[in-house]
Amino acid sequence: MPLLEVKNLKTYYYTLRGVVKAVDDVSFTLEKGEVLGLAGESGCGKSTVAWSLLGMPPSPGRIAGGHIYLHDDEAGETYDIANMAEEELRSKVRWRKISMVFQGAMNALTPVHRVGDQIAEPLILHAGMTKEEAMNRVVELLNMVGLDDTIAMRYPHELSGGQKQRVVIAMALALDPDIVIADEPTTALDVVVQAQILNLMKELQWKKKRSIILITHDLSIIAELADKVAIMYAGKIVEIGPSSEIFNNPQHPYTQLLLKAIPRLRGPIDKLAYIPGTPPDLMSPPPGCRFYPRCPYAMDVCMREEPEMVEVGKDHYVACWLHSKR
Amino acid sequence: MKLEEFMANMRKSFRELWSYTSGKVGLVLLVIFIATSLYALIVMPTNYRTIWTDARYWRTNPQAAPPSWVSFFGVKLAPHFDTHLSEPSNAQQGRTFVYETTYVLDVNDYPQRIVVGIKGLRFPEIPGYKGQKFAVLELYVTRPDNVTLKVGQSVIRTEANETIKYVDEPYYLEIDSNIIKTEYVKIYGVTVSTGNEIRALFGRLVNETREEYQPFKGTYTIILKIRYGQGQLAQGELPAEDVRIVVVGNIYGLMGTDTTGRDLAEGLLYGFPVALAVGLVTAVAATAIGVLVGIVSGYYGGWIDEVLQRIIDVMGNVPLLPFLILLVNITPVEQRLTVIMLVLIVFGWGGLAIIIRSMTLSIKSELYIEAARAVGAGNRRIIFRHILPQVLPYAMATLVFSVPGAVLAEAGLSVIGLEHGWPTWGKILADARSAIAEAGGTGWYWWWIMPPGILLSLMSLTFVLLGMAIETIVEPRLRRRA
Ligand SMILES: Nc1ncnc2c1ncn2[C@@H]1O[C@H](COP(=O)(O)OP(=O)(O)OP(=O)(O)O)[C@@H](O)[C@H]1O
Ligand SMILES: [Mg+2]
Repeated sequence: MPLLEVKNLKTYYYTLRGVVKAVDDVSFTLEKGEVLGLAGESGCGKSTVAWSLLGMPPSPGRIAGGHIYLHDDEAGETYDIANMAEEELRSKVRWRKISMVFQGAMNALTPVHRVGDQIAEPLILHAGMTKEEAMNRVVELLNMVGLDDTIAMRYPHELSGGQKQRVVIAMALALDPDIVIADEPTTALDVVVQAQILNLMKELQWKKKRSIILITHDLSIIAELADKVAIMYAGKIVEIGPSSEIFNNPQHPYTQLLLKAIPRLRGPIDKLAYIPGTPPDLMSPPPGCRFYPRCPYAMDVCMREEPEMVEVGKDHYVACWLHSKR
Repeated sequence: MKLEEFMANMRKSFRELWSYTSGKVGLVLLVIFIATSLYALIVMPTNYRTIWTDARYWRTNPQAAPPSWVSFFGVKLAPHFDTHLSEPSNAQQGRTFVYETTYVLDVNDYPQRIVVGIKGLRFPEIPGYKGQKFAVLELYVTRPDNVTLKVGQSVIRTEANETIKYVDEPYYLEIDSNIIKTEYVKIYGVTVSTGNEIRALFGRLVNETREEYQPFKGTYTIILKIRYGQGQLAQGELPAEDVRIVVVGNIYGLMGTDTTGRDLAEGLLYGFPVALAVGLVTAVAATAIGVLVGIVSGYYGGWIDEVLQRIIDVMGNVPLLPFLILLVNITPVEQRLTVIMLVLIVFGWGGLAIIIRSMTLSIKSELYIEAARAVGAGNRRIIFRHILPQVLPYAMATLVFSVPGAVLAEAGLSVIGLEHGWPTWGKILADARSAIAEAGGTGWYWWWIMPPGILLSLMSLTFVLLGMAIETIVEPRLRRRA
């Protein structure tokens, strides 16, 4: 049984101007100890998936359908996060089982509290620790992410970006959760710090056998870390499969274009490809395949009907009419 | 929170406050204010409010007199003289008693009047006598030219069997213009016109046709004679517990007096605790309500927000001043200050609530609030740990700024003429203002109008300085590195 199974997840934002279908019919699984890379252009719904997994899509968003099955080994239970009471979610799942390194971690710390107190917050709230116990664990966590004990006494504005990022990672690890979602953990950091953070994440996964969902639009980072890769486009997963398959044998035209767009250190700059056009408006997406307006292989059927997910290799699925039986 | 932890936090905050110059000055001033308030509460009688409004209590004080220390600056005004005599200087057969004291007039000025207070006046016990008794009190002044004038007289009658009168409150004998007039004609052959009696008593006629007087410098002897109509006091018995002879001068005490003769030093001293109470209670209450309503309104939104905001709108559109005047006028005098405070509280939180609401709205949408919720914090915890501390610097500054605000509002109402009877700085200032206006240039009571104004400004300064220091402490981003 997979640790996490997301089935037909739909998360919509109910705005005054209309319904934004930010996550529409997304399914995937995550095994214990696995790293899933979730990639896609900005605005395709990656963060919305992440928040949905915590059972708290940002307002005015709501989970409109589907299931998020989380298997709890200790309790021998399986929860459906998509249909769970807030109280139960808070006491059993959120942060204990699934935690998150927030996108824009710089802003994930309350400016008026010392970072030590903030890392201690989940420990006091969930693990029922006293202040002293929590502070001991905070020091442990800080060391784990490569920070000095004295950082605990500092305020967020007294830390560098990389230090803040580590603090937020420490916070996510506080309760030793089964799954850590890292939403763009390295954006806005310089290359050296990026590498440090990535090494840290690698180490964590390796040592603790934690499952990680790594969200980024930077495919080179995913290539480094992920066992499995899901490519999202306009609220849908268009291709999902083992890392090697996706990088060496991409099947969806979008994935292929995306991979071409990765800048390489060696090689002429004019070779750098980009995908013409813009992603569709998620309030009224095109009826058929959402990528067809930008797709070089667009056919008539693409415009009319949505493609189903089909298996094209071992554990390798793609949603494209090029591969579906008409 | 444990007590020691709390104490440690307090000590730390204090030390931090002390590390800023503004905090230091503000704290020193605040301590002075609080200490003075406590001193006032301890030494002043609890019914001081009634004393302040009772003119009889102030009859032995000069009216509109500047402080005594003006004489050091060359202002020569008649000194104020106040003495208590426990024993008569002369007693004749237990029937006639004489109390006397001297007053030296060494400046070109006339005292205001002479008042004699007799406490515990004793009457002879006459065995077998059941009728009324009486005593004649006579007041004489011997002038520097050795002429003695009778200046006042009164006859005190007893009920049957009564042997002692005026035990709680003294009987006050004052000089009588008519007696002075008659005596003056008799002795000097000069008719004193009305209004000139005091000049005649303490002066010399220098121009008979225009009836012009000049202060008569020298030593005056004030004599009180007590004569009994019936019987006599036993050997060793005294006619009075205490005889107080007051020559009311033209300077008084540390801070002078107002036109009623009230000691401004006392009134201003009593103003300390009143000002602190009015300011702190009003500011703390209004700020607390404003912060609470603002956060609740902004955080929960929806119909709660709608209802609260409409309430604020309605309150904001009530014309406060007419409303206050109306409300205060239908309230009994004793409760008026409380009503003023209540109204200032009730109408004082709206503006803050609107600002705190908008601050909450923007804080609410910050990632760290979402993060805190993800970490497991409930609404209460998010409000108290993540939102409240952020609006606290602003709320603190508002609180500290509105402390003098409430006191100044009370002062403003006093100027408009709302009577609440308390000796507040604002009331004293307002009284001074109208007295100066009434005197129309003949009286510039600087000792009356300046100190309450200075005290009000000093109090404002105290809280502004404290506010500046507190803001840097509760707002870590403004904090300098240790
Ligand atoms: N609170 C909201 N209200 C309405 N629409 C929203 C809201 N948050 C996100 N959206 C929309 O939902 C879509 C998905 O947003 P999401 O933040 O999940 O994208 P993302 O893939 O994480 O992008 P990025 O890489 O830039 O972080 C976007 O089109 C966005 O405009
Ligand atoms: Mg995102």
